[in-house]
Formats: sequence, C-alpha cells, structure tokens
Amino acid sequence: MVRLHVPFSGDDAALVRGVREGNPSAKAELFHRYASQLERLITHLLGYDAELADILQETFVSALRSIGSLKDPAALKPWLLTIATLTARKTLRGRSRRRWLRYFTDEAEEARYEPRTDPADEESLGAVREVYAVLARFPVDERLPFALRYINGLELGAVASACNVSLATVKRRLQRAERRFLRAAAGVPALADRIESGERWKTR
Amino acid sequence: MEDPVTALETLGSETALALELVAPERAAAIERARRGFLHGPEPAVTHRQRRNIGLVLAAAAALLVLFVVFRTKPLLSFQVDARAGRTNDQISAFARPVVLAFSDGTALTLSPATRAHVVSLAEHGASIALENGSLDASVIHTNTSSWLMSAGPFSVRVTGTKFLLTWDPGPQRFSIRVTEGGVAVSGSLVGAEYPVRAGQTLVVSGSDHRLLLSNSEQSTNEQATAEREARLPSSEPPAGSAASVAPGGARDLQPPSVRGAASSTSNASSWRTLALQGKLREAYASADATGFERACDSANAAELLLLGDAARLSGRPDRVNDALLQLRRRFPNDPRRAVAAFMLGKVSFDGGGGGVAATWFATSLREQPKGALAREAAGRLIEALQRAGDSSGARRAAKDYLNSYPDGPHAALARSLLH
Repeated sequence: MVRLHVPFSGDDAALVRGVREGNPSAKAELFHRYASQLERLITHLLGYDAELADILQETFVSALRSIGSLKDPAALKPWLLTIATLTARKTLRGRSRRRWLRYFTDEAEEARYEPRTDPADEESLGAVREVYAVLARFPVDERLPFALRYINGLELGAVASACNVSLATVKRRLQRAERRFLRAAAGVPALADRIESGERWKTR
Repeated sequence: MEDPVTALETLGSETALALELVAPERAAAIERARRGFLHGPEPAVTHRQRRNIGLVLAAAAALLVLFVVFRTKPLLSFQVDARAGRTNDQISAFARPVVLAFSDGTALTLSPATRAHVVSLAEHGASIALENGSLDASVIHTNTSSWLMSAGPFSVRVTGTKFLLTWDPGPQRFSIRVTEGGVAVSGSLVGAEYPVRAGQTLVVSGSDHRLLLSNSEQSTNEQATAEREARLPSSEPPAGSAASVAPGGARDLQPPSVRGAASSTSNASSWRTLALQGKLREAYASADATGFERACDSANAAELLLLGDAARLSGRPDRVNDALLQLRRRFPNDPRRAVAAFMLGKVSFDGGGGGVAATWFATSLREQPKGALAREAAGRLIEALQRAGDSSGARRAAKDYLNSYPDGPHAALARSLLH
C-alpha cells in the first residue's frame, strides 16, 4: 500500500488545536477545508485578480500566525472570513498608496494574468469588469460591505463580523454604498442599459 | 415595483455567477496558494509582500539586474510550427498536431483539440501549462535540465524523458504515460511528488476520486476494466462542486489495490462480469448462488462496494452489511470506507433506523468532510437525528448543513428546524 497523505480528522476545535500544536496534517487540513470558501470571498471582494493566489496564501499565513489569538476555536470559519476580508482591505489600500510605483511595473506582465475566456463569455465578463470598475471608485470601507452583502451574499451580521465593525456601522456604510453604486452605474453604458431596461435597480 | 435591495442582490448573484467563468484560473490560483502555503518555506513575509518590497527596491536593484543579465547564459527559446514562440501566448492545435520545438532539442507535440501555453523559459528548461487535451513530450536530458508541466491542479516535474500527458478539465481527468525516463507528479489527490517511471501510466480522476497506476504494457482493455471496477457505484449521487474534489476528498489512495482490481478481472467470476455490465441484481444472484461470503472474502475494496450495492438493489440489507462492514474492516485506509459508511446509513435509514443511521452518516462525514457524498450525508444526518428524536442534535446538524450548503436540497428542512 502506498500512503500518500496522513489525514487529519476532527471538527474545527480539534483542527485549531492541531494547528496550534504545529501538526502539519492540521495545517494542510486547514487549507483544504477553507481554501475554496476564502478564495470565493476574496474573488467576490476584488473581482478576478492577478494576485489572487498570493492574497489567498497571505490570508492563510496571517491565520497561521495569529491562530493563538482565536478565542473560540469553534468560530474558526467567521474568524477566517474576517482575516480574508482584512487582507483584501489591506491589498486595496496598499494599491492606492502605491500608485506612483506603477512606473516600475510592466503592463504587459500584468496583462498576462487576464484570464483566457471564450468570446461567448466576454459579454458576461464585460459586465463583471464594469461592476468592479464602479466599485474601484468606492471608498474601501464601503466597497467591502457592498461586495460581501450583494456579491458574496452574506447576511448583515456576517458582513459586520467579516469587516470587524458593528452592525449599525455596516448598515450605514451599506446604505451609502447602495446610493453610490446606483449613481455610478447610471453613468456606465453596460450597467445603465440594465437600469433602463427594467428600472429594477433604482425604483421601488 | 421591485425593491432595489433585492435587485442589487440579483446583480450581485449575476456577478458571482459570471465570475465562475474564470473557475479554471481561480482553481489554479488555489493550487498555487496551496503549494506556497504547504510546501514553501515558513515565510517571514509572503511572496506578495516580498514583491511589494521588491518594487520599492526596484530602482536600486536595476544595476545589479543588468549585471546578472550580462553574466547569465541565454534562456531557451522555442518555435511553434517553425515560427518564433512567445511565453504566455495561447497555442491551440485544432485539426492537426502543433509542434513546439525548443532550442535544446526538446519537442512537445500538441495533439488536435489541445490548448497550452509556455508560462516561462529558463536556461535549462521551461514551464508549460496544458489547459486541455494531450501533449506528447520528448524532453532532452542533461544534468541540469528542469522542466515543469502543469495540468489543472497537477504538476509534472521532468528532467529528461518521453511521455504523453493528457488533461481533461471537464471531468478533471489527468493521465500521464511515461515511455522513457521518469517524472514526478504532484497535486490534488496525488499529494506530494509521486514518481511515475518508464512503462507506467498514472490516471487520476478528480470527479470520482480515483487514482490508477498501471503498467503501460497492460492492454487498453484491461486498463479500462480496471478503471470501471475502481469506480463508485453509479447509483450513488454524483460528485458535486469543484470543492468536492478538493484534495481533502481522498487521502489514502492505494494504487496497488487498484492494480489488484485489474488482475482480479482477468479471471473474473460471473458475478464480477455481471456487475461490470451494470447488471447488479443478476450479479447479486450469481454471488449468492456460489456463496456470498466467499465472494466477499475474495473481493477487493471496489468489488465489496459493488457487492454491497448489488445486495441493496436486491433487497438484502443483511448482505449489504456483510459486504460493507467487511470493506471497512479489511481496508482501514481506503477512501471507499466513507462511501461504505454512507451506504450503511442509507440501508439503516430505509429500514426505519434513526440513531444507527445517524451514526453512519456522521461517520461518512467525518471521514470525508469534503467528499462527493458529504452534502448528501450532511442532509441525511439531519433526517436521521430527527427520526431518532434527537432534536438538539438535529438542530446542530441543520446549522452545520446551512453553513456549508445554504442552497442544498436539505436547506429547507434545515431552516424549518432552526425557526
């Protein structure tokens, strides 16, 4: 028999214990158990991103470093969602601060990360790009709850938890983000068409 | 008029759905992150942080880079059907093969209906991504040659060899047939580097968690038979999302036992033949006529699963238990144990059981929390606990279910228990 993996079994509390004890199987299980969920969250926050792999890895590295601070091991999942959201937030803030450094980047190098798609998919992806182009003009603290709520589909309480703010704060930010989005979308042809074709985004 | 918040939710759902169009790229990113997180050195700063720091230092490093460039030997170059090739240009072979000829003499031939690109070039090798289709490689061996081929979540490390690499992203089917030298395969299901030598073929099916290592001289028919035998019963729910074929789904793969399935077919008894033809009731009758226990004793794990399914379809729950409990006892590291646990739970539940069925469903979930049957097991666990009168357990199971599968087939039941 060829044993290729030493599996880790157990619930999240056991998993946290294993990671804290430095068990490599637990570390692998942590990734296997949550990588897809965290990737989905990060992609919904940022759109398809050239640095997705790095951001995801950085999320897990941050989690590993601070796992000792997790008070309730059973709450591992929401804790990881918060770390992923904060990592995405740091990424967005860092990018806006580093704009001047673009002198040193190679646009062709960045363009290669553009996903390869069939022409038939281009229309859908075009709309996605427009959505994220609108969101790129948002303050980060409004963009994140908007994406978490409407693209990732989290409940308000979970949005507040992921953003590490109170429910009242997240509600205020979401209200501002909704108004901002509707105003901005009206000025984008691909999105404005949708608005005009059903009035469904702006009227009650 | 429509509530604008609901409309924004619709827009958000559409956006999330459209992002699934780049699922292969996203899956590749997860795999890169996995490699970095699990196999990279424990980083003081991550790759991205390092890159940011690198940007700040870029200007200062420019002179050093120039120095290195002038001292470094040239990278390999390549031609695509006699035209100069460029990294990251998509190369598609439609109706006829396309040849990538590298400056060191290495040749990669893309079969018709194949798409690939050269990710990067190095002094003694290159990194190639096979997006779909087949690639016939003849890699020139030197002491320093280093080639890396990726296909979906799998990586093939090559020094010098000849092989045929095939990747079908739909069913997540990876295969490599090595004719000269050897390669090391790593990635989902396979785990850390797994050697494949000349004369061997490795086939990994992500959709049903199967890994098959066989000798190439084995006839195609025998391989096909071996694969069919190793497959899960078709009456089981199909594999679900991409997440369900994540590496956690199958950890203790046993190529030798799968090979054993191939050898046992060569002298297949009639119940085996019938089972492979999909005639499970007839297979059960045949096994029962010649001694069901004897059939179980001579069966491997895949065959025990088939016997269990055949008995279930024939209305013999006692025989189901015989076959599946034997599978779990004799093959303690086989990934099919979780499938057997699920089937045992189903048989118990269908027979009116609650607590026992719940135990089996929970066992299946514990053994393969992200396996192909995990969603169904999680849902049936709620039903079984409910029947057993364990209302608090059922609520806990319902909460767990909704956390993992908010839109799953048991979501309505789960919500009804929580409200």
